[in-house]
Amino acid sequence: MGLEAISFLVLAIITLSSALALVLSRNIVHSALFLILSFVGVAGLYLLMQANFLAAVQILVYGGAIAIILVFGVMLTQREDMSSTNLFNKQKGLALLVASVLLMVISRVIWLTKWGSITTIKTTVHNIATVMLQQYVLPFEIVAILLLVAMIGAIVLAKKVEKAS
Amino acid sequence: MLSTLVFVPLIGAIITMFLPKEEDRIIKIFALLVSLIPIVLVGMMWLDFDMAAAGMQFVEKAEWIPSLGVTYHLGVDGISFPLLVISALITTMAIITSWNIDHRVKDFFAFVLLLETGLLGLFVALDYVLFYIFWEIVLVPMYFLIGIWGGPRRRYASIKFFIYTLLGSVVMLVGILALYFGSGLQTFDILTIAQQANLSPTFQWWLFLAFFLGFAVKVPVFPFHTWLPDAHVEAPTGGSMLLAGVLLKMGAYGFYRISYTTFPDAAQSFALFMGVLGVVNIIYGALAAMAQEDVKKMAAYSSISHMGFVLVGLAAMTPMSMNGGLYVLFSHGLISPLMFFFVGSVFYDRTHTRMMGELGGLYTKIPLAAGLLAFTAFANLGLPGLSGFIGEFFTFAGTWTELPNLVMIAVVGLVFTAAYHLRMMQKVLMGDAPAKYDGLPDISARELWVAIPLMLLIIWAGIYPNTLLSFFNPSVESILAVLGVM
Amino acid sequence: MNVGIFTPEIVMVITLIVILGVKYLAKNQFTVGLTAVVGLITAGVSLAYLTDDLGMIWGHSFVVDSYSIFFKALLIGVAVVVSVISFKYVEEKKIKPGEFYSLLVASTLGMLVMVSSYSLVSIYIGLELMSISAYILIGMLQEDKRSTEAALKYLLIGALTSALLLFGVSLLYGVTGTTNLIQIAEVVSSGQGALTATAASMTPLLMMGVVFVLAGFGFKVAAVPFHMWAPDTYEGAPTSITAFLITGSEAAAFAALLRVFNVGLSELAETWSLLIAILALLSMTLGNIGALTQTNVKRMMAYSAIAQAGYVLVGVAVATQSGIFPVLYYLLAYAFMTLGCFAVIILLSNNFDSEELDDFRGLSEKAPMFAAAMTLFFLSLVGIPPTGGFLGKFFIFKAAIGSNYLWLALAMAINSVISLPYYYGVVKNMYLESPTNNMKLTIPSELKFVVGFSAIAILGLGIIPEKFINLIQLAANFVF
Repeated sequence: MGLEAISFLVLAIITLSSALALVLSRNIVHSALFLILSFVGVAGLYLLMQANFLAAVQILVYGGAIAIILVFGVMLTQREDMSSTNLFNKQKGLALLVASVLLMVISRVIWLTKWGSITTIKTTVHNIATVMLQQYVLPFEIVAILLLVAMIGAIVLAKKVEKAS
Repeated sequence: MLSTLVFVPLIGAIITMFLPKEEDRIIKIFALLVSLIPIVLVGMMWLDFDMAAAGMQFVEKAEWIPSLGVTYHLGVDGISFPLLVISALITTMAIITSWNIDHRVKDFFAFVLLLETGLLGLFVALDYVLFYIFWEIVLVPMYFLIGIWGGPRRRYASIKFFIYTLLGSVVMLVGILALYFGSGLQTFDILTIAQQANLSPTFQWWLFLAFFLGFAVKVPVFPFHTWLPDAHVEAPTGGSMLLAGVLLKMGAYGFYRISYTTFPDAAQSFALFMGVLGVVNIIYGALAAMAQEDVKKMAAYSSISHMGFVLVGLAAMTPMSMNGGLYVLFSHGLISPLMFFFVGSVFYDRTHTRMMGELGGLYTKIPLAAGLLAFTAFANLGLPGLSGFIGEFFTFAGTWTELPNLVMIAVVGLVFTAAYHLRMMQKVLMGDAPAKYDGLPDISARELWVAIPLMLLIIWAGIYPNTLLSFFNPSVESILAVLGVM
Repeated sequence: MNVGIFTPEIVMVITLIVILGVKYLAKNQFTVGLTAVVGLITAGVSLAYLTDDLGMIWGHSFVVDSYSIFFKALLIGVAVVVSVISFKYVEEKKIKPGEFYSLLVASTLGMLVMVSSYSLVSIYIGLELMSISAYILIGMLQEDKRSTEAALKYLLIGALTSALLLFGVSLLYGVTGTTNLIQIAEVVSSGQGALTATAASMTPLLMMGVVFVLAGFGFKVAAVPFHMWAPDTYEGAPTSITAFLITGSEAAAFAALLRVFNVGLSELAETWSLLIAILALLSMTLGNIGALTQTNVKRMMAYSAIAQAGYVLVGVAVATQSGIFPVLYYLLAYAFMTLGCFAVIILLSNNFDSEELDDFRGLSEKAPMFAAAMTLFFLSLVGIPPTGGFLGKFFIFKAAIGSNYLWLALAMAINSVISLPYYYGVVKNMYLESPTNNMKLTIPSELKFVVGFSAIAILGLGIIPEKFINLIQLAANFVF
């Protein structure tokens, strides 16, 4: 087992276990913190695939900005006891069943597939720019409108809270 | 010509919808005038009708949906023409009968006219899509006629009517689609499929069954008949007249027009089965009629009984029996509306009851109306000299050579038929009249306008059957040729 | 580069922004709605000029073909009708008009992008724009808890859907090395993938990708077993938005689904065809059975929509060119009948503030034309001739028989019969029951117009279909 494989394993375990902890934690602030950890794990995986720019963006945007906003949001809206702020219902068993079936299916597919490997590696920043502003410029523009919509939505919802209180 | 005939009532119905709601009288007169136009048109067609020809006349054919092989194909032959006469006539009579409707008048007459379009269209449609559309168009207004203007149990009756007929027609639609895909001709034309489709006997058997279910509900064939007494009893009298006079003919017409010509092999193997069902219809209908207290219900079961003759006639597959079956259709189309008119309208409007136990001695109170009812009852039980007799006699005489056993059983039914009519007359007309029936007005001029034309036709068809037979015979012979009997 | 091919989309973006401005300038609610309608119609008219550019392909992801023009016309039409029937509703329910109409336009824009895309990425982005706008639209009845619940449910399940779809897309990308549908088709058929291993040896992975993409679209069209959000969402959403989701969102999802599977994955048809056939069978059966016991008409229509999606899926399962035309025909007829139905439901909703079955009592006396039209729409939904619904079903039926799905065709026939009772229940209430109150209905003229137009269209599609058939047959051809 090479160094690469070991790092992959470590990062994968970090990502998955923190994701699991995020779901199972009863305290929503803990969940938010686990989320950051999971994001960082993913960033590590990106690095491993030599997508260094993406890794940096991942840490900056997801691990930094989004997570902070999330925690802010939680702190501003939640006033009571934090110990059981994450809601659960009684369908744990069913969820476990579905998840394990899915796991089995995916493992089977992974097992059946004859994998190849890619050797060519390019500098990523340049490529991302080209792809995003040439091939995918249309989706890129649409995303701008998507953000506008998200903003309108946020305003609609925020106004609602104001009205209720 | 045929298009005009079919769509004049529809246009009339649409115009009726836009007439002012309060002007009941204008609406009624307008509907009556519109309903006279088909009668005139049918009369004009009679003059031009070529009696010798077996094929379709007044044919109108146009491409409709070429990519599917749907055509707008109308035509009339000796089988359908008399049914057109009845449809046009009975609609007018039903409108006159319904003169005293006072609830949602506009809707009522619009529905009656729409119903007429469906009936006329059904009898001239020569394309399966068209045929099915008209079949459904008939269903909807009838449902509303029963459901909105019916008697106390109208909701139950209308739902039952709707469900039975709709299920039957959906099975038929499946049959039509199977025929379309199975024949491989890429056409919905009834005649083309009948002539050119090369269907294997097994496939024919299944298709015959699908169509049989659709038609059997309408005829109605025992055991699909249970909707009929309810529908008849609850329907407003005008609706009952149309139901008994024309709607019941749709199923039998379907056997003549579609089942026998398109699935000849299957028809042969179903013949005995249909004959037996026919005899069951005759006997069961007559026995059930004998047990009824409600005169209208008795008339309903009597319809079931009479439709049995048509089935027997179809089963025997001789020229005489097939002609006889059609004759029964025509004559029943005249007599049964008259019967419903008397028990549901003339007598009911005066006495406000249809129960035999509460009626009685009306011969002394309203002699003219009572006499006419007696005439109708005699026509219905098959008195020689009136139209009912000819049809029954032809059917049995034609069947005797093929299925003598069936005829012997069925003749018993005739005895019961006579019995229940006599029982009805005895209970309603004879005996002592209760005092509350003193001073009842006798039949009015409006009512005579319904009764007299129908009675004249009944007498004419009873003493001079050749008029009708010359319509029927060429077409019947061509069907029998397809069946390989002749 | 010809920017002209984006005219409808650009017009929509401008409309979206103008509405937000008009909202502050205009005092009258109708002005805002009218702006949306004018903008949408302008976008619709600009479609006519696109016919010069037929066959134009832009970059990696956008195509102008008769297929996309057909769907754009349909979707813009749906959006116009939905805006029109919302005029009164928005006022009654105190919905914020500026946000409402701008989100409606944004959602439509997302649909337009979806139907023109031949790249998985832009299809996905279009889908997201459509859905995210819809999440908010559904929750806009701020005083109604059901609306909030509906929005939340749709949001959560929508997010899951997106994840599934995206996972599927990533698998397809991983195997083929491209998101472009044509290149995917080339890779799949030649077996020369981006990875060093041949694509053929990656088949299990590819299949899993197909399944996930299918599941993603399955959620959007509310096919069983991905339907559990639909009844609650459709019931709780503002009525006009329910109509918008059932017709617009579903049509757009079907458009993209057809393109992805018939262009990109047509080589794998043997496998996904059967999967879709099973989805179709489940959807129509469970949808119809679910609808039988409903007393809320919106909820009933939700189950009915699930069943109808099943019928359309039969056309998709046919998996050849012959299946595309029936789907298009049916979606067109379906849009008219659904919008017509919902216009009637909105009428009651405006007047009684609820959409229960009992509200339909005696409608034939209060608004005879609306009752008659509603009956017609139901006949069309069941598939009784001479309506557009019958022909649409007939074409699907024919295509199914043509490709050896006789069992599916039979299931369709049986299901049409199962669907009768619940439609019948409404008709019975309209005609045979007497009204519960004597309240006079106020009938806005725009609803009259929509209902009348839909009724005429349904009859036109059923009685004189030849012109439509030719046009739609033309539209059923992809550029590729």
